[in-house]
Amino acid sequence: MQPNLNENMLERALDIFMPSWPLQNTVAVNPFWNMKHKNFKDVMRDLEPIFHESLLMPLEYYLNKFKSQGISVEALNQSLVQNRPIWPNLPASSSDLIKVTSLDRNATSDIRTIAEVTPGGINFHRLVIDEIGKYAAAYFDHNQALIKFPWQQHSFWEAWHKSQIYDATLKHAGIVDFCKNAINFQKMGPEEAIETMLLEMNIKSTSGKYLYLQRACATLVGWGSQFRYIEWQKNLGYNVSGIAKTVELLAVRVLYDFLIFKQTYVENKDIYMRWSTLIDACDLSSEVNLNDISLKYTWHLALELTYQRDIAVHLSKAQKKKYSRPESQLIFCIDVRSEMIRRHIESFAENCETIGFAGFFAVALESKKIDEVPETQRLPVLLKPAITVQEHTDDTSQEILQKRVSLTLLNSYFRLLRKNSISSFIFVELFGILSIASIGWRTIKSVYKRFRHIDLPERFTPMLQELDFDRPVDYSSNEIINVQQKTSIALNALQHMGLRDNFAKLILVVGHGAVTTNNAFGSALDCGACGGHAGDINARFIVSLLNSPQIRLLLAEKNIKIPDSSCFIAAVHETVTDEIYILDRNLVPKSCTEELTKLTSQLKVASQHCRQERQITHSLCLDSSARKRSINWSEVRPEWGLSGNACFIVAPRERTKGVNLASRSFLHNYDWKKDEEFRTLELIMTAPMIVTNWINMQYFASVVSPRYYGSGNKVLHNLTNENAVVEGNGGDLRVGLSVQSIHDGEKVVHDPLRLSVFIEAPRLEIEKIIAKHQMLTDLVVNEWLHIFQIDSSENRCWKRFQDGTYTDFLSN
Amino acid sequence: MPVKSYIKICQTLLWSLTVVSFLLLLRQSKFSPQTYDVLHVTISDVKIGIGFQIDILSTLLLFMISSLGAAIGNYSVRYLDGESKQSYFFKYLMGTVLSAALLVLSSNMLMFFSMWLGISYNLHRLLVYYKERPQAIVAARKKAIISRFGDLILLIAIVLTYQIFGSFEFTDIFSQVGGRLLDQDSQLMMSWIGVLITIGALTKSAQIPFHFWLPDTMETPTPVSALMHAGVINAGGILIIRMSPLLQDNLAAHILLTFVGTVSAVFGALCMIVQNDIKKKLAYSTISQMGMMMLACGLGAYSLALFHIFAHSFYKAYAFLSTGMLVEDSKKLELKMKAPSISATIFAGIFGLSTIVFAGLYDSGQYLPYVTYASILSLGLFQNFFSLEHSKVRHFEILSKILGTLASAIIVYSAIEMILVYHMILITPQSMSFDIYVRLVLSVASFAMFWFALVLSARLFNINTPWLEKTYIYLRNGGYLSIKSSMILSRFYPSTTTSR
Repeated sequence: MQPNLNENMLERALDIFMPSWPLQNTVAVNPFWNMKHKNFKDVMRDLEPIFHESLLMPLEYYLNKFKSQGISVEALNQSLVQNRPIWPNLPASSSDLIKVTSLDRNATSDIRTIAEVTPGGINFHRLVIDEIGKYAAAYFDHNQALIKFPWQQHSFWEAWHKSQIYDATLKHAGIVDFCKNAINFQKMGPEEAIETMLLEMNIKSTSGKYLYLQRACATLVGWGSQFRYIEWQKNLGYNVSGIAKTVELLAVRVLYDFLIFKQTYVENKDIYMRWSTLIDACDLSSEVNLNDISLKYTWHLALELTYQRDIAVHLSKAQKKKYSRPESQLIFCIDVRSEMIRRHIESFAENCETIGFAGFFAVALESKKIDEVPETQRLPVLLKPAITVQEHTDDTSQEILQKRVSLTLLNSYFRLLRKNSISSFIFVELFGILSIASIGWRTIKSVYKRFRHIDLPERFTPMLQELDFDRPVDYSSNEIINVQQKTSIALNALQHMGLRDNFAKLILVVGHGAVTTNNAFGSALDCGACGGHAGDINARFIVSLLNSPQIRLLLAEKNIKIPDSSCFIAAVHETVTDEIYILDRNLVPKSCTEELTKLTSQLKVASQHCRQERQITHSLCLDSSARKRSINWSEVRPEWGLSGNACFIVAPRERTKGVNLASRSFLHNYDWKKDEEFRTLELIMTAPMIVTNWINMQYFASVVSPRYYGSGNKVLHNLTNENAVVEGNGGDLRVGLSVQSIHDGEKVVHDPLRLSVFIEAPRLEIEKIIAKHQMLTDLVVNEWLHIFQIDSSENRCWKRFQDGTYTDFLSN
Repeated sequence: MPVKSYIKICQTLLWSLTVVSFLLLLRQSKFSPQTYDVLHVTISDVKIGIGFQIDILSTLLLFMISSLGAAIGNYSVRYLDGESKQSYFFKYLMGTVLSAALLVLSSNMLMFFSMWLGISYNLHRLLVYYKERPQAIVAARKKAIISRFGDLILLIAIVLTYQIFGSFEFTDIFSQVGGRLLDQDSQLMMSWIGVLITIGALTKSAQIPFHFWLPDTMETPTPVSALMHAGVINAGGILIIRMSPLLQDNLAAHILLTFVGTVSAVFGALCMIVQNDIKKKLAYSTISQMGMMMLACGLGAYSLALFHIFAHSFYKAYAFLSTGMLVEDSKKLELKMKAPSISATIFAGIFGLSTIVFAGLYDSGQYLPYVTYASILSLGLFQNFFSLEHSKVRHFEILSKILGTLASAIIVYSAIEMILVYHMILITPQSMSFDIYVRLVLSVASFAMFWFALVLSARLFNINTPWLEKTYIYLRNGGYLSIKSSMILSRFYPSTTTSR
């Protein structure tokens, strides 16, 4: 137990909640982020009684992996050796381990809420979750319902109390005095109310309170994350409406419990007595069969070790030779999907270098389309935007843009007609019949594959000559940034990309995004480094800077000499079809067109081969035509996204070139010999490594605990507030990845491995950076990810252990 | 059989049915209604058999059902991919579509009734697609209870009809309705039959008070919802239109249809605008749209009702299947809307009322149903068009474009209606024989309720009194009928407590 649990018990209980982003720009979130100060194993163990299920895969899964050689005997032995100091009772050998491994024991479910233990004709638990969901949805809804919840400006706690004056749902469910009793708590703050209620419900021990509150939170993981999102954005300084606090949600949740408790106390006295003594007696961590977690963790580690050995073997070979001057350079996002296409490009375009870099290309920008309401922040969610770009508003473009806006507004009139009460009738009478054409068109579109070559998909098409790149504004001061500032943005990007000399003639900056149809989760397939948006605008922006002669002059002063013949070109990698589209082709100078044509034809071939490989990666269940997947309105599996992600390699591309990493690896180019004061390394470890950890843990959580951290079945999704989903009639909000993203109907396609980070840099520097940042110390020391150091001179991989020592990984 | 080829066969059947029905529909535009006796047996003077009634009602709806079935089937190939019960879905999808197709084609009451049951059975199977979801089971049970009640009522009506007319064949019955003078008892019986048929229809089309199961049925795959809201729910309306010659002089049935239709339309619409999730919103929208259709039947405007069924079905199917697009749509700029002003609402009321009264008195009120319906629809324009806030960009250009679109839509709509009226005259009564003042009162009352809803939704835009707050919560909870019915149900089926 933590020593100071008494003081911040409430806060610690709320640690279960991490923010979740709206569907318009979903980003992967590490749901265990708030618990990173505890060891991975301990968190998995502690959460088991709270979630009533194990947070590691079932033992059967590991046994099957072992049978299919996904876990090697050496790895199993290695895992046993590593874990024996913690669990001395572990079997002596791997064969013994296999013998004692049998089916899973059911997780204990002693820690429950009142709603879960109260007997009754109807399921109180489901009712309570539905009710809270109803109010949370109404409270946050700004889009879906035409009539807004009247108390949206109040705090959630207040708003809920105000509405309870009228709401008779619980009364009908048999809790007759619900409203009467609820009123008593209105005057108290949520924290005080929780304290009072816990006392009245006879939970006295701190650990009991903590566990109970954790369980209460766990029943509302989804809505809690929505509350957290508001807090998170506020902390970053965004302008967020609503003054909701997460603790209010918990207070409301406990209040429901308490009111049911109070109403039915007489008839259920025995049950409640037993309930409170059980919870009170629970000591943290005593609830889980230690034997069980030790077995599972040993297997889990063995699975990871098997994979790591595989990678380490590849990385322990000597670096390949670098080209003197490549014909072209392509800068991709570090995303695992880039690995596959980069490999194919390199094999078809021989004298072509590919570079991996975070997909926002170090431009923290916010942009807004003129016919859209929200600004889009195209940068990692841990950061704040630096600049804002807008669409032109000068006279020539005014006309085109305004036409666009008026068309959007015209469309919106008919949407409003459909939405409003009485006008919905005339809408159906006059325009309902048009749906026959919509259905027909969508059906035909998905029946026939569209012909192979299509132009740029609409979402990447600039409305005009694109956003106002000449006059980007500073995000905070709102002033137009000058050429010096622009130069420093460009300089920063080039330095961190490791692109200081040796510029090729064509340099493609390739963002990525997915084109899908009728897919509420579309943004989950976009670039995480761009905050759940496509990377096209970031690529365009950085290209516009790097092509500017003025900026090039200033860069030359800083000793970065870009030859006049070099040309930067923005492009986008469409991840469903693996097609690479060149953006703003008309801006490419004549002198480069010949090379560009050659390159694009090579890219076409690479795309095609990549598509073929992608089709059979993970599973065979994807629709056989990639283009169809992208336009079919009924497609639930347009692509596998980042499934399979398991490692992050920070090294020069020469280290990994020619190795098939099976689209499971994030790749960041990094050459420590060129890194002054290791600032780039620090940046990589504090930004992309965190993002990859978040992505990795999101997949991990969605696979091991789909009930809590997965968003359920797409087939049942019911869009709520136009920015999130519930499953079916209601209940808790569903966050995380849907079943369709990680499961092919027969098996899970993502192996839940923790991220293995391979860094080619001096050990001392890695250690310095880990020690400097508490966040990194937490992640590394508590085993939320594995750190490996690649030794450049000896070509060996060293694994870092908890105590900071390194051992030669493959030698033992 | 492998799932893939099973699905292929189902799809082929559905698409061929669509093509056939389209050809039938084209053919029907030139021909008058016909009845085909396919097969029958006679057991002690009772003729039982299969026969097809081919007229505008059956061909139009056959096309609707089969094309929707084909589109939904096509959608489900990828949408349900990887689901272990995909072939189960296709089996009952086929069952539902075929039952519905045969229902609209039925030439006699027995066939109609057995298909009526067939739809219920197949739909029930689809509603319990996820057996492991307790709420799916609860919703299916609620529906089953309402349906069984409706089935019983309809069965009684059919038996009574047979007693009077001595036949199950629609043509036999309808030909006798106008011709033969009925004695006192039979006339009373006829009133009862009309009321029973109406109640049967109301249960099937989720009309108040039989509506509460509908918003709870979202625990089943989206294509099932699309099928239910677009196809199955219309069976009630089809029953009324098919039986309209029988209901011709039945004042009670018409009052019931008008009243229940109006209340359902108004209540459903008001509930719809406060819902925060898309599927509940669509469910309440279905209740309200079905109410509108029943109202059209109650007024005697059957061609309007038929067109409404057709348009609404496609609209609702598309709405369900395309919910994923809402996320993209939600980013777009919108015209801002405020509550319509008091003077505009009052004007709308007076204008509508005077038109209705005028239509009632003009030409012995033969245009009354259409004018009433149009007046109610026009309230929608008052609600939206006159309450748009000034947009910063090209406001007048946008307004004129809106007006232009609306005007051309109204012209096209009227043209379609005209064609439909021309065809529907052959199978539905042309005019109602009730006293014009009774009809006028009904029309005015119905219009007044819609007007009230207009005022109420305007007030709800700015909730500032306790009464409005209470109304908001009441509507948000759909009148508490879901929880009440769950409580009653739980007495018979105690739930098993499951966590999460």
